[in-house]
Amino acid sequence: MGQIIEYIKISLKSILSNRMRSILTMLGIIIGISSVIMIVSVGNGVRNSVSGQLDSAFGGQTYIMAGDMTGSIYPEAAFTEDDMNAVRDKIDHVKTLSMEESGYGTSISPKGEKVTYYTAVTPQYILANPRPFLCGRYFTQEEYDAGSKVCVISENGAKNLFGHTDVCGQTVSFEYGGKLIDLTVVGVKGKSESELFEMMYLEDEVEFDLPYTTFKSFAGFEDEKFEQMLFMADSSEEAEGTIRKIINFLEARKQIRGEKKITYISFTSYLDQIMQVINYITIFIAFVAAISLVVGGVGVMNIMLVSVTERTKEIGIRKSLGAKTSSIMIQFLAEAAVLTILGGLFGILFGYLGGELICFIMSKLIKINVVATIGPGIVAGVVFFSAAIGIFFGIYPARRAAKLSPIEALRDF
Amino acid sequence: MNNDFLEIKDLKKSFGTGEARQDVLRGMNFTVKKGEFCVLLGPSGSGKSTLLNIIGGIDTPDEGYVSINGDKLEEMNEKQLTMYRRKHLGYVFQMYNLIPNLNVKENIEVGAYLSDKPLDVEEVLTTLGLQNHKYKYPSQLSGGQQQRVSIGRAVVKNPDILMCDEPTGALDYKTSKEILALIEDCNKKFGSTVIMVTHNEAIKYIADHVIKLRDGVVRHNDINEKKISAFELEWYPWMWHSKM
Repeated sequence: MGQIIEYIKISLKSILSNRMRSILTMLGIIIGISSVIMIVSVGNGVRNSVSGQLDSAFGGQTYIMAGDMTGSIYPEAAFTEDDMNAVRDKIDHVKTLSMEESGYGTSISPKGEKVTYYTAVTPQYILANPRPFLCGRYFTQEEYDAGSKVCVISENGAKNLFGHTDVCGQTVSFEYGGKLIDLTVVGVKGKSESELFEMMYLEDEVEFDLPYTTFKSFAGFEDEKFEQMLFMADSSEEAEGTIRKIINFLEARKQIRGEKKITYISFTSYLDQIMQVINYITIFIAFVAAISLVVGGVGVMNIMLVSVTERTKEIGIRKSLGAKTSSIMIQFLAEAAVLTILGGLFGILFGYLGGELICFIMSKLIKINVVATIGPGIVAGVVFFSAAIGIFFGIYPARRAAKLSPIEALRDF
Repeated sequence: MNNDFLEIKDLKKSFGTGEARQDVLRGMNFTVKKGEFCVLLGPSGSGKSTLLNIIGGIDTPDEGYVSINGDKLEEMNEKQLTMYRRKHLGYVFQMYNLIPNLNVKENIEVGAYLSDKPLDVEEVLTTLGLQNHKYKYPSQLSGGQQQRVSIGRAVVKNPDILMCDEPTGALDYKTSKEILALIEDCNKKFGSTVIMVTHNEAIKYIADHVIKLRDGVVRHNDINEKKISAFELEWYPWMWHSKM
């Protein structure tokens, strides 16, 4: 241990006595490590931010489909309202189970006609898509069962139709397929808390949700079947099991057991895929940045060779005093490693600061809050890796030093 | 029992081949007893430094052998030679050969770290009068001070043999005497056998054993009965020959 401290001390002395040269040598390592750290920390930050924002917007959502991931649709597996009611009756832990019948119509208001995106759903739909309410509430089960002529309008929709958002109790005239219906506004939905969602979502001029029962009788649909339905369990622990139960139940009900015609995609698995893509991109860019580390390593090797040449006499003296070949080797390896570890530590510092700067600029430019994040694992890994670079690129010069014969080394001067 | 500590037997060494071949040692024989202050005298080219390098285990002879305490260096492998240098030898070079980026204390510690039975570094610093300079770097020291550090680095190992290659070669008269007194001190105080190579004839008066070399062989091998201390020693360049 005392020996190792001595080696480190000697290395630091030697590095300090050639300050300019050491800094320039370290620069390669600093640039390499800081680029990697910067990319990884921003990548982590983006991943956390995207995952957090998407989770707050879609967390827990699962779509149950009468089809599979290849895009095939199986009409014989399609769901009816009766299917949904049966599931709700028979299976526990179902918080939301809703069709999503959506499309475009026209709203007529004192401000003129506006293109309107409608979504006909069950009252539990809001639970899977939580929004703040600017006034009123979502429609109720009673209104759903009765087919009441009510709707819940979007914030922008209220502004576009009425010029303000305090429109609960007002009436919207909605035209669809040549028919006209007057809907009473029972609530105004605010924007999602997820900035990312709001950024990516292309909102129509007017959007509203209405009970599916109301829409069905208005549009004149009979026994409509749905290819997918939105599901959410009452707790994330129950989600997986409940979905399996629902699929088994529906397969039995439709007598298509084991045919894999009913599948599901959960937001979590979707999110995992997005995270995977972000990870791959981060790793790829970090890898490109890491190439500069190799360049830095060659710089270290070069300067260590110069150091060996310069210190031939010192090596000769140490050897004539009885220093072992291995200890000369360790001394030069230690020096290379100390050089690159120092470079690595500065690299981590600059990389983190660079990451913070990029995140700051990102949050100013695109108004998404990204926090540069590096874990202790990354820091330890980088320190280890930079030591490894030093040792790897130090081996050749150190061997050259260690192999010098003392008589040759002393004779050189 | 034979108390010869160091034995040099039929030692031969040449450099170069063909016409450029130069026989530096041509069959050298002598022995040194433990604790002796031995001076190897000879003009330039008499093979002194080569002999010292061979005794130091950093060069090898073509023929003959060096044995220490009965162990022949020729029979040692690289590792054993390293251990031999480490355990038995202290080296004082003519040009000091200090490590420039280490300070006085650290330079001496380099020696201490290589020994199993090192002397106390502070004590050595005091003995050598370097306490006030211990944090200075070699470039901040005079030649005499640097040579003291070099002696310190060799002595701190508490070596069985202190090898000195022209230790006063680059020093002025007064400083040379101080350095010689120090080496003499170490010889007495720590019991190291001293083998000093020099071309300064005057130094023979402070030695127990004087070996004169010329053209690669031993010409005189004398025990000095009337040894004097380094402080009594006097020499002037023009007096060398008259004193002989």
